[in-house]
Amino acid sequence: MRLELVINGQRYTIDGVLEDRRLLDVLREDLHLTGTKEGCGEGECGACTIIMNNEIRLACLTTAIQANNSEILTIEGLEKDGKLAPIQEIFMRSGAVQCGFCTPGFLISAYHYLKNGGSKDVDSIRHAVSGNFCRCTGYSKIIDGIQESHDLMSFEKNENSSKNSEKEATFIDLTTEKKQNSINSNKKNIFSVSTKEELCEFLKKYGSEAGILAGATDIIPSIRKGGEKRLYFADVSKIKSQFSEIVEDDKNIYIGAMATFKDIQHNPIIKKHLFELVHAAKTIGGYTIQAMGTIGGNIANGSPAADSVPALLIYDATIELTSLNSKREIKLSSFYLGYKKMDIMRGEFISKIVIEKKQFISTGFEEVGSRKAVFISKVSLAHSLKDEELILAAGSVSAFPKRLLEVEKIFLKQDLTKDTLLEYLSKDVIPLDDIRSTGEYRQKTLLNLLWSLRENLLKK
Amino acid sequence: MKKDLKQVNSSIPKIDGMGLVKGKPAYTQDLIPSNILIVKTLKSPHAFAKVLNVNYEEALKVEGIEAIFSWKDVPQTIITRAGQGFPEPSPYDRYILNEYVRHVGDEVAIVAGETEEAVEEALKLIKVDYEVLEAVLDLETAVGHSSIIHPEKEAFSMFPIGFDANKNIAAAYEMHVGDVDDVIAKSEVKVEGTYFTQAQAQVPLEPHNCFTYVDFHGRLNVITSTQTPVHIRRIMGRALSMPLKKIRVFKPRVGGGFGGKQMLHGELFCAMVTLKTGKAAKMIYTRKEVFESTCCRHAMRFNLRVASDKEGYIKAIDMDVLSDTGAYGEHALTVLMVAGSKTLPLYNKVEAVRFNGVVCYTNHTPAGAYRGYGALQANFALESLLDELAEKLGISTVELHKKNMISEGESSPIFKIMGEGSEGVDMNVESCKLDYCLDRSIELIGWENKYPRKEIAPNKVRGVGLAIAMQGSGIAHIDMGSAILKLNDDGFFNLLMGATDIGTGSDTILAQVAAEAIGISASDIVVYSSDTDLTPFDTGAYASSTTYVTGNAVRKAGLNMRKLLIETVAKKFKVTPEEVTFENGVFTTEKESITLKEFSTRLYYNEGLDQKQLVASDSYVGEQSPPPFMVGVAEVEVDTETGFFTILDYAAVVDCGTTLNPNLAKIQVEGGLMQGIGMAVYEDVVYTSSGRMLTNNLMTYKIPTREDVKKLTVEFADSYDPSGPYGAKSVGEIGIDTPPAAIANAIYNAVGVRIKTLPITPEKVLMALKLKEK
Repeated sequence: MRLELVINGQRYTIDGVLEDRRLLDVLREDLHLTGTKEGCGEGECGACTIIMNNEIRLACLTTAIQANNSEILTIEGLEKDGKLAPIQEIFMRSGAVQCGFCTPGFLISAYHYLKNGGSKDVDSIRHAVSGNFCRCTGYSKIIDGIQESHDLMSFEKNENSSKNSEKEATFIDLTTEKKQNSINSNKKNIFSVSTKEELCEFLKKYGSEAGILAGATDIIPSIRKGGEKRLYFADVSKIKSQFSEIVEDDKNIYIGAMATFKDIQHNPIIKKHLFELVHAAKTIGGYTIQAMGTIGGNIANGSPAADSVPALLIYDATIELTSLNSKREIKLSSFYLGYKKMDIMRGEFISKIVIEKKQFISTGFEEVGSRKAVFISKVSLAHSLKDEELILAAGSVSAFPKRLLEVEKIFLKQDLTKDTLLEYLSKDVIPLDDIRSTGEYRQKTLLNLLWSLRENLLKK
Repeated sequence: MKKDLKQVNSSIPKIDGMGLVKGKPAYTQDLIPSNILIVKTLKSPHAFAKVLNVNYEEALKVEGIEAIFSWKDVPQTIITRAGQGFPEPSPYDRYILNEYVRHVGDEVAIVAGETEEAVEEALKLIKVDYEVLEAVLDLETAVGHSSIIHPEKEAFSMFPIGFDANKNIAAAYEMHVGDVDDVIAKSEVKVEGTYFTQAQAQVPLEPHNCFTYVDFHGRLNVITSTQTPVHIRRIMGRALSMPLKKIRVFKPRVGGGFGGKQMLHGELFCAMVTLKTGKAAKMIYTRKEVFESTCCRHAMRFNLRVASDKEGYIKAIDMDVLSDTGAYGEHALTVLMVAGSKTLPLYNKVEAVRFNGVVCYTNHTPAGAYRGYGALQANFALESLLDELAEKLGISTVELHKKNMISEGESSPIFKIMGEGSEGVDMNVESCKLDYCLDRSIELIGWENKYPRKEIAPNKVRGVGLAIAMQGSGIAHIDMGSAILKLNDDGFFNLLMGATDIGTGSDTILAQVAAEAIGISASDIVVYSSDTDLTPFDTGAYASSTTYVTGNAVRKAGLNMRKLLIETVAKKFKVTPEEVTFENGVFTTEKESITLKEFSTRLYYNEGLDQKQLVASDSYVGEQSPPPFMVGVAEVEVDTETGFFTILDYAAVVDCGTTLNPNLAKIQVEGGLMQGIGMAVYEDVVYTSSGRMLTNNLMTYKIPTREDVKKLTVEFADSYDPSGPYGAKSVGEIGIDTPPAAIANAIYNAVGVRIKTLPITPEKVLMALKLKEK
């Protein structure tokens, strides 16, 4: 393919790029911009963080086809006219740079945060760099450095476009370059779709062999590890804006399935009505993953630990499935049929999540993980209560996140004992052992979380 | 002493910071030329197997494949990859490739090709017949197991280290002072316990990587992300049967090591390809390979007994260790010995002490060096058990420590008995501010009001706990560092060192030391490290040696340079050296003066027959290894319903002598603490029952993020060690030692459960709470 990019204000045209060549390799190998680092290649460490179309992104999880026609800022672009950005100066002076390998990623995350009006508050800063690992410093100097540069940074509205129109593009031809690496050796096929119809036709044509590359935060690592069985993928960058709107009417809230977790945590409608979803969105992966990962992707992934699902279950969310000529709605609580199995038909994709607006007496979402950020929960419990209507949903304890329908029946009965609660809980879920925790711990913890929730609710 | 210092004890910014914040090419991977062969290795899927046949005929046919080697195609010279001084105290038990594979991820074949895709495809097409052998996956049953992990008759040790391959023993050691059993029997108060510390992965953010080429002189050039260029050259020379003069090893910027890059990893695979094909080749480890196929920390089990009198004076310590070195015995003995030598001297007034340990082979990923090795593991056991002793005595842990810990001017018989791999060196501790560190750290955390616990909600309890620790500063009589200073025209200096800055900031602090000694500004020093062709000998960045050992060498070289400068100026002005002063870049005699800048330019261009190059050098071997000390105090909040706990505050006060660069020293300690906290509560290398590693990525292997600790406070004691460069001791490792015990003790104080198996997880806390209820 022909890849057209504007990087740090310079236009580039690269011919003959493989569609699934990683943007990271384009930057480092084709353009010799080696400031962007590869620490893990799986979207965990944040060393390859860049800014693409004003959004934070991991270059190791981005393919050429997804990056086409975008504007990119890398570490090499922070210095302007031979002058360091204040944050670079401060990082250097204060000792935020130790071995330095994570530094470009941190600087880019921080730059993006500050440019987008991030506050001086330490917790917000920590959240903004939660997708960046450092193994040397203990993080203090990094956080202090971001805070210190808060008031010193000045930003041009658009670093890229002001210059790119004047300069001639740098042309690179890789057509005859046979040494080009791409994300897979299993010959997966990636197409770019331009309309909803194209997407539906694509899905219909390839059925269970088809996948959608939206955030791609799970699919790309999976392809690289050889664990991905599907062969055909549709890049939806071009139609993303149609399916990522978050709107409301008198009755409902509508969340486009391609909305990212970052979109969700900052959206005023969601912040007003769906507090637990905001919470879930903030705890999924690190911040860079939140900026890339989509809520539809999280639902379709169907992982037992898909953290947005319990939060959606307690709001009794409905999902809209779109196919070529029709739409269908289904309650999220009946969408999952088994481990990674769901009620989705050939040619359908998740297009929207619909949630009815309600006034709740109480809602809550508790997750127990190991570390505080970038974790997958070992147990999670969400609840909502409206008048007599109680919903309990648990994550990470069964094949898919599910409502605790049996427990709901008896939960607020006056004479309930902990033993009876356990009996009903066992009808809903029997947690299993896995790498993150043991079934025994999960059951005990879930029981304790339930019991303490019940005490709190009864007080109200 | 300290007050006269101008360049050191000052927080100048790192000399390499500018290039790094700009994202300039710096690391090995940034410098790899394009069009270079890609090297990958085929890994064993079995924990233990004999390779009967490797058929790569089909794989060789893949377009773009340049070479494939199995064990039959490479030299079978036995080596150790440990990356230590010579002769190594580690068993020689490893080949480039061998007919046995001893852990999942052990290398079976080397593949080189033009593209990653071709290499990946070739890897899939190689057919290997394995005879799968019974794997040894349990530390407790490894010794004397019917499966012998190293049946090869060539395996040996350079000198006695207790190596006994037939029993799966890589190394063993024992020593005692006094009659421990007798003293314990007679003591009034006794405690004992069994503790387990897990394997921990180093996780440098930069994965291991290297590239190799043969230059036009026919010499093998190895550019690699390593802590030990000199050792890499020596080991490669042996493995490849090449004279060392044919090999050049240099390291560009290193993106973190923590011990994980002390050993040799991809260098030999890459070199095999380059030597056999004549072509340049690169090898970049994936994160999975870093986890499975490099090394990790030795998992250890401790049986520990401590006895005291009723007043709380400790009379005896008896430490028994079983250590898991995995498939190869790299660092087996040294890590074991440090478990004793860097903990037992803390309590130097005991009547009897015994240390006994066995390091066994298993079919796990090999253990190697990792920051704080041995000391961290033993510290968890000893400082946990002392907390129990304090409770049993009915005194506070602060009082117990004050009664027993080592003080300035004192010694311990352990210093002489136990070294690292051999006998140690007798010494008195010339600087020890443990008393201050203890008082200050509990003051910082607010111990008085918080000890032992505070209930802040029905199911939320807070507690505080502490631990003290020591390390060393290089290995006395063994580790050698050296430096060359070269004066250039225009009055600046090159500082050439074999010491390897692996992200620690050593290039910066050593520039400060050189500048201090010469009497100039650190900005006039250009540091180059390290390249075996250009820089002088240095054992490398390990064993907390760079600041102390190389630092002393740099200081001596700097003083030599100053002397040389003054002598040369004196000669020029026809006065005695005593009549020349050198200050602020100007040489002054009674009658004349000249700037260093002008003098050096003249010296090289305008002095006729007196023109000459000024070069000064020196080296240093530690006569002793002065220990840095520290106290760490943790405050935790435990949720009794979920077992989940939060580290609210961690206060650490360190005695590392003079801080050559206080800011960088602080970052070293903070970083160490963070890794110690990771070891204490998150990080764990976990295997399936068949020996496959489950935690081989950064999602399942959890290193701490900044959201994991609320507050971290690091301070330094005012201290000066007379043997250190300008009073400095080491600071690289000490920070990692205290968190496991301090956090375990804080959790005990909060909720009354003592977790003796690391990491301390919510599961373990909750299950222990349940057990306690019953």
